[in-house]
Amino acid sequence: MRISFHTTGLPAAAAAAAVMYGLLAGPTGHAAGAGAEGALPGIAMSERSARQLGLHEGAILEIAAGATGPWLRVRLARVYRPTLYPSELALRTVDVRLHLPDLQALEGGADEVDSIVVRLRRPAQANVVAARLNAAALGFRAYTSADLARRNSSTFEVIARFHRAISAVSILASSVFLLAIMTLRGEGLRRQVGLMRLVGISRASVAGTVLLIATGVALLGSAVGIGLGYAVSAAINGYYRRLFDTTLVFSQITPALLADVAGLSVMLGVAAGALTAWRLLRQPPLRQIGR
Amino acid sequence: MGPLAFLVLRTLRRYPVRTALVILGLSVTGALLLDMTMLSRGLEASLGTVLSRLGFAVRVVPRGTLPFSSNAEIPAGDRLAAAIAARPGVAAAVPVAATNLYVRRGPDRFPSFALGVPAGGSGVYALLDGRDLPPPGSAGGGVVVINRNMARLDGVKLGDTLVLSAVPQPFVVRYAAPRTFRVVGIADFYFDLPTQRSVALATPALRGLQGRPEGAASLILVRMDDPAGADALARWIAARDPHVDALSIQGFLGRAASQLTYFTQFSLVLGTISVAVSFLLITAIVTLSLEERLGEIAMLRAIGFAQTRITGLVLLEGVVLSAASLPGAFLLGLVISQNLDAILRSAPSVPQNLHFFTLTAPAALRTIGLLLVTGALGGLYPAAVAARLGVAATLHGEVLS
Amino acid sequence: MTAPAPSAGMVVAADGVVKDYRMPGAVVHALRGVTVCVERGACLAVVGPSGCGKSTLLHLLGAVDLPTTGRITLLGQPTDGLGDGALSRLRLRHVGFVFQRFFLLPMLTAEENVGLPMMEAGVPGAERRERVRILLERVGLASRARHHPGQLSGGEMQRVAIARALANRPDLLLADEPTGELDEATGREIGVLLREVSRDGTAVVIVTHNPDLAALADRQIRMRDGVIV
Repeated sequence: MRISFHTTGLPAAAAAAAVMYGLLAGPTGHAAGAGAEGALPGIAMSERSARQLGLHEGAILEIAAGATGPWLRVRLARVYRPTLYPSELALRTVDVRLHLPDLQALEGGADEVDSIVVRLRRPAQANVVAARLNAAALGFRAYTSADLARRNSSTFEVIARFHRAISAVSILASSVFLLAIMTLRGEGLRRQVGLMRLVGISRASVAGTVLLIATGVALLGSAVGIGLGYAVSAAINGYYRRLFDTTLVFSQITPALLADVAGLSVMLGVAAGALTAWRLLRQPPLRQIGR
Repeated sequence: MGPLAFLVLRTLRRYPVRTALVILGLSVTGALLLDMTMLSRGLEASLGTVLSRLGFAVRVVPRGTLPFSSNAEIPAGDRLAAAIAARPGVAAAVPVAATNLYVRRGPDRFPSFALGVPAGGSGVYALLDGRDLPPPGSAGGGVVVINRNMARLDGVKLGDTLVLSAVPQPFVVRYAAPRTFRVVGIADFYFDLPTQRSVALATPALRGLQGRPEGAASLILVRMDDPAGADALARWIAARDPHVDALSIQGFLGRAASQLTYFTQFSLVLGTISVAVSFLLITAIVTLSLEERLGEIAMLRAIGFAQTRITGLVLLEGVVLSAASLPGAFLLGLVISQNLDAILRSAPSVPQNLHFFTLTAPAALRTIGLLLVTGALGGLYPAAVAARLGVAATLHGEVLS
Repeated sequence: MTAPAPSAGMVVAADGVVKDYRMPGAVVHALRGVTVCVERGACLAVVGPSGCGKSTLLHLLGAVDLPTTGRITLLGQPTDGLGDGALSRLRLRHVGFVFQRFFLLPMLTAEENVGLPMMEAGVPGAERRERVRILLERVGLASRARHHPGQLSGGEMQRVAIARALANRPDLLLADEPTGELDEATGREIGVLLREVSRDGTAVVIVTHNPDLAALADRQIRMRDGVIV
């Protein structure tokens, strides 16, 4: 099998090669590639890519940096399961790691890398080290892991804002729905309320009853909604984990979210009930019973 | 107007507050549904619009690098472009080189995307001000066209001098010395990110900066006399050179769609929920409303309205509620979509000319159809209640109550 | 009492009609074999105590309900074996109903209520409007045509209901306690109006507790426990 790689894959490969080198050395201490087939350079391939290409550990393949070669015969030494970023889930690229010298040889031998990953003896000094490297003005920029995480999270922050905006619209729809139902119920209760007031039940008691009904409906609805939410969340996680072959969590219900839902539903219920009660009580009781 | 429509409209007007609330609720859920139908293919539609505006019917890129990679190249791109240009029906085949460069203007230094084009007027960008690059081989080389971002953010003006280099710091350079260029034009580069700088220059000049020989191309853009032949030409190109991917606009969009599954699936889930909520709202309101007027329904049956007519009456109520919510749904949906679009476009790596929410005729028709069908379905249960009504028993019950 | 032989003037006939209602744990025998017929232009009053089956008989005569056993013949056609569509068409074109509770649609004006059966029967707009005008004049409410039921008195509402019942020129008009919600004087006016309707050729059957109203009819039948006594 021949696989040609374009150099977009270079940064990850170059950076990973430095990490993977130690792994590929193995317990014998020999560099990967020792022994018969072991004379061939070893590469590692992601589980999904290996499945996609029908390859197993030990398979021999040829790789090149460009479609026209030159080709390098390699041995698939390791199939690994990468932790994918969510943004990578839908990608169908072949993911390969190889030793840095092998990749540089494929690329024409130049001593070039796209990034260098640095492990510090004292990780708490990361900011200081990055600042010193940047001040050296050697034609590169240094970032701490926290910087990178912040930069790489910007897409997910956008998605989070997007979801919040959608939630706001959903809450608006639910509020109007609740108001419509309570208005209908209120109109249905008009005669009853008129009779209640005629026999001496106070406005406050009537209002309280209506508020209780509205809040109860809202809370009950929320309880059912939460149950439904758990079910849908489980279905979404199950489906997309299977689809993308990952253990990432796509949908998560947290205690804070539950508290928000319950609180909001009480608020909406009280508001809808208050409005309904106001509409009911502003009419004289005789008129309410149709006299 | 038939008696059913007449009765439905009068029934809905009977309780104006209630009807208004229901229509408002349906407008909100309808707006969400419209937004989701806009989102499901919105980016694809927007991309298609921009690609069509560009006017290139076929794109050729190194195999496996869609949508675009500035690192991979088609080794004999110029030769391939010439072969494509010789095909019948091809108006032009433009090989384009792309890379990242560094720009120095006075004390300021910043990175920039760079396009190497054979000559001005290639159509790879749209000139907004000034003049285009000169024809190949003409005097007056050493000029560049910049994008609006560079003009706006860095204050670069027509006539300014820029120093371009392939690496950031001149003193690190062992090869490919920086060169000076004069800005002659400002253009829209179509796929620029919101703060991205872009610059276009003659391909030989770009290759000189990179220290690379000419002949390779990052992509080839093909303009055709009749775009209907795009797929056939793409197949010919792919057969001629198996190391490239050649795609018509539709083919390109199809590939892009497979990478936009998040939005398709998100919009499907949320669109389904919107439909479900609309259905519940209509069912609840029509059922509650029906229960208040069972006596009237029984009277209508007694005076000669058949069961099927009563069923139709109740179903029509649901449909009319949905239909009445359509103007509000579209108005609200378009307003909300602009906000949502702005949120998503603030993500990194989103070209400023692309939109996630695009109103297309199919999206609008799908929304209208779904809402009207939901209205009818929402009326099914109450219609069944009305149809099964015992007329005599109901009339008797109304007297007793 | 056995049914008389069918005649050209007979509008509706009940022959040995039984109607049972199945309730949880019991069967209610609302009618236990009733035989009666009504001719064109006749005015029949059905009297009896509450629960004797008067309204049930009315509903069967008007093809709103079907007997458990026995036969109802309406305009020469037996009602058993007819589907809902056919029965509805019969009621729409040949039967008019007047209810104790009026059952006017509150969101329609008087003229719209009267015109509703004609609308359903497909009567063209101009003809419908003219007939509505005539009917409202006939019941003395031409000046209240644009009023809603909420703006009318009980008597006025019942007049509108009678006009509606006459919309499609029915052969049979069935009135179930038409004066039940009205005061005495108004009830008498309604009774007189119904009597006029029968004199114009429409067969009228009135179910009533009111002996004065019953006395206006050509003929009275008394019912008790589901039978004619």
